[in-house]
Amino acid sequence: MSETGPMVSAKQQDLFLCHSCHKVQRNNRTSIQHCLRCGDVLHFRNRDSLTRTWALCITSAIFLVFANVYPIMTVIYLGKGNPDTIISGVILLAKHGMFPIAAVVFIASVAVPLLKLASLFWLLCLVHFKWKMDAKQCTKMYRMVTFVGRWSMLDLFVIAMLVTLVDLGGIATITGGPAATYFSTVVVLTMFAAHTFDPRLIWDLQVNDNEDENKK
Amino acid sequence: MNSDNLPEVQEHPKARLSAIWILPIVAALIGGWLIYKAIVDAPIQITVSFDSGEGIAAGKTEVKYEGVLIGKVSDIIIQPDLVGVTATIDMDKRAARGLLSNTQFWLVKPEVSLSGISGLGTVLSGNYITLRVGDGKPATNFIALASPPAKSLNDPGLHLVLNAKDLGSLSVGSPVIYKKFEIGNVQFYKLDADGANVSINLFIKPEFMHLVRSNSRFWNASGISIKGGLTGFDIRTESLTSILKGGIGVTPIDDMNTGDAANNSDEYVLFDDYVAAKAGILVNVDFPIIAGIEAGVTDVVYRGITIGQVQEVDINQSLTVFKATIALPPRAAKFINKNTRFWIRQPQISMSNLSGVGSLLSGTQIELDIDGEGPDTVRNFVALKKAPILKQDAPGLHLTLNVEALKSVSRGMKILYRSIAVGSILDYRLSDDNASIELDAHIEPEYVHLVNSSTRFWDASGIEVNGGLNGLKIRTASLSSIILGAISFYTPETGAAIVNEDAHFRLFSDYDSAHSVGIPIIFHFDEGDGLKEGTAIKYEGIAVGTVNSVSLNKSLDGVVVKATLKESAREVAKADTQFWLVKPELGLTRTANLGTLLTGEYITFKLGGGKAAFSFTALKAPPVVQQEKRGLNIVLTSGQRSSVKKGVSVSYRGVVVGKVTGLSLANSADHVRIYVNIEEQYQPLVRANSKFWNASGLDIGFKLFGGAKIKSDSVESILGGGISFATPGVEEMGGLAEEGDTFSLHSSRNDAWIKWQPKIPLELDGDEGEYIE
Repeated sequence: MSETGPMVSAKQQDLFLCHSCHKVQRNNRTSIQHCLRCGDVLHFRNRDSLTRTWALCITSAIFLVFANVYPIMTVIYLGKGNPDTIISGVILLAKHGMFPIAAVVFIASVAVPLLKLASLFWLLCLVHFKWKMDAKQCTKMYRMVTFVGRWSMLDLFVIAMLVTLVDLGGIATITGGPAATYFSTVVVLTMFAAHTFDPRLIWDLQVNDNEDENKK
Repeated sequence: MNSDNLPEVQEHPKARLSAIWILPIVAALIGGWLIYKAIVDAPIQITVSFDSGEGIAAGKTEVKYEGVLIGKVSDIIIQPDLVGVTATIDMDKRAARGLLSNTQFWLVKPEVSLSGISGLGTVLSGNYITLRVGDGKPATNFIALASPPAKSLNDPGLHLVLNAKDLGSLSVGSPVIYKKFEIGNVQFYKLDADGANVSINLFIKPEFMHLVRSNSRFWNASGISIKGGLTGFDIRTESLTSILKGGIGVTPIDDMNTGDAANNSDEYVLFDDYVAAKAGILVNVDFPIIAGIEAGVTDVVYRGITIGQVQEVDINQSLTVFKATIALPPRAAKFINKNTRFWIRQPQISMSNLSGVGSLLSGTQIELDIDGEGPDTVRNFVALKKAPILKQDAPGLHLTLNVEALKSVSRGMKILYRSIAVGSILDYRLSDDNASIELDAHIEPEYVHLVNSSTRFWDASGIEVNGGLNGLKIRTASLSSIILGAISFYTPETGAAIVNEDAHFRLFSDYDSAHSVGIPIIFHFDEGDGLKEGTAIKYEGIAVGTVNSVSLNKSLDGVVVKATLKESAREVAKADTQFWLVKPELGLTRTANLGTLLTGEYITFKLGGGKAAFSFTALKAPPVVQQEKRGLNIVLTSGQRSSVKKGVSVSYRGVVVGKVTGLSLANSADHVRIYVNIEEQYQPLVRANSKFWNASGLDIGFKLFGGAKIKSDSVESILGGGISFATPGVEEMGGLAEEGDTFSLHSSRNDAWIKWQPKIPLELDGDEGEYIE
């Protein structure tokens, strides 16, 4: 099996890979098969991968809207203070000339979750509608998504710290807003979504393509 | 791949919906709900026009109602005509029902001025816009007020109007204070149309509405009220705020449950101060026409404490009675009943009585007294003409003290025991015979045991200074007793008999006389020669008392002798007893009382009757005994007294049968009356025609041829003088002389008289039937 040759997947060869212990074993064609080594149930691909990812991604998308509309944090300094949404916070930082911090917050809290979700949707659509794309590029994008996703928690981490540290009564108080909950939900759900998405599905498309070509 | 015919195992159909879809459904539900809420709670946009945009910031300035955030200024623009600004405000949907055409908006800013600090909270929280919900149709365009509006009658709470002569230091927002609680404030004020009065509109908070009754009184509690007097200072202020900002005090005039609840728009008078506010109940008292009762000045005093003031004085139609309206404090209401008594206390001052010094400055005062019974509704009284006797039925011991004169006496004068007040003088009056003063004394129940029959009271008023060669001694009971007077007592015998209610005691004039055992008495002598401390008082040779002190009297024309009689000689101290000083007499003509040369002079007396008395004017000499009890008393008349004097013997044939008991000028002053007492047994010798002659001295006659002839009755009569008499013969002697018969005293004897030798039977003691030849 060379790189340039038509790709043959393990599934085509009736080979299972145990998700738990990664043992490769042959399909015995019974309905429910168990790993010979660890006894786990065997699947060719992540179970319901596409459905689950879709559901998680849609949920995330809904929550992402509210995470950006509602205030994420209220800073009350000497009795004065207004709740800030994520974007207004970034703008405020930028206004005060703190561009590096504004950039970090923007990337971590706005750009990354948005791009991540967009990427996931892109991949889902790719698999779902069997778009013809470069599988290699798509896999790279998937890897990026899984890697960068966890860093979105940076913003929440900052808020959590500030809320606990800055509680000086009438002088200064920071309280979290409802968006914090939505935002954290988005981050967690997108991480799950990235996990449930099985990148092998991308490759299955090419295998299928090959089969189709072969049939033709 | 499958070349055999075996059927392929089919994967389970995925017809059923995966559970994972619950997640997006839930998310969709939450989202949907949030969107619904956002739509439902979408802020209502209103516009409010302000004169100035100062202190209003778009996106910052909040709208608060009763302190709760209900909106926020979202935008602010200058009005098209460049006058004022228009703020666009996002109002909470829930506030929609308050956005009516008459709703008023205004900006709350911090305000710091001399008269008040308000909106302090906005210094930290920023200015905010607030509103008062009005009525009318729903509206979205409003014009803001320049300052907070006054409360409208529709607001819950009480809206009252006060009429005042001037505004004082009141300002909008000045608190209305009830028992130092702020129960409301001044809403606004305005001059009346005629400019004579100021109307002040008050708002009383709903929770305090019940405190204001129709008979409540309001007074201007602004600033600090300081009243000073001899008795101290009274500083009255309601609160720090009211000092700076002015304030209005309110108090019910009576108990809380009287008076109807106040209604909106009720009008009240604003009084100048607390006292003027008639802060209490009003009573009407009729007084006789007496100068000094002044409205707003004359105080009403209860047991020395000012509790009220005369509010108003009027005179009746016939101009005979002052009708005074007196304001008493609310707590007095519990005690005012038909037995309450009022009278006038006028200031009194004299050298000996400095009582009522306070009233001298404060002017006439009205005193009142209450009895313990419960209140009733009687509010009209007639003043007593003089102060009543207080505490007459108070528990304790009631005594009567007798004294001739007091240094000072006043009602309420304290009775001290070892300088502790144990009672007081309730009243004083002249005794029935006007001879002494009777004091009604009251001893408090817990001190009753200190008084028994041996108790001695003395007047501890003023300062007692005893001066002498051996130093100066100043004695005073207490400073207050100097000024106010006091009565002190001590009880020498603790075991003496217990006294009964209304027992009589003598009040001694000073400490010393009270402490000398016995009955103190006072003599007034013309001169003090021979009198000194320790001089005895003797009767029939027996000492019955001693002189304690001798001093000049006030007018320096006599001597005051204080002496003590022995208890056994109590009977001596009677009004008619006559005292005199017995001195030794040693002279050519008379020697008497030689014993006093050794024992010293003494005071003796002639017992008399009458009431008990303790002050006597001593006689200059022993009293003239005009009538001896026994024997015959006759009167001789003579042109000259010659050497006849009291005690001179009267002899018959050289035998002393009587003596001269006294002499005096006749009323017509043309002769001397000589009182003679003839001893009883010689009484028959004196007959109607008996002749009396002066047998004093020597009668020396010279006859040229007969030699000298010396006539004398006796040597004694030569020295001391004497009177002789003779009675003619039986036929001429006449009848027995009667008591008080008058005879002429001849200056010399007629020789014929001594030849008379009548036989007169005498009944001599022990020698019956014997005759004098």
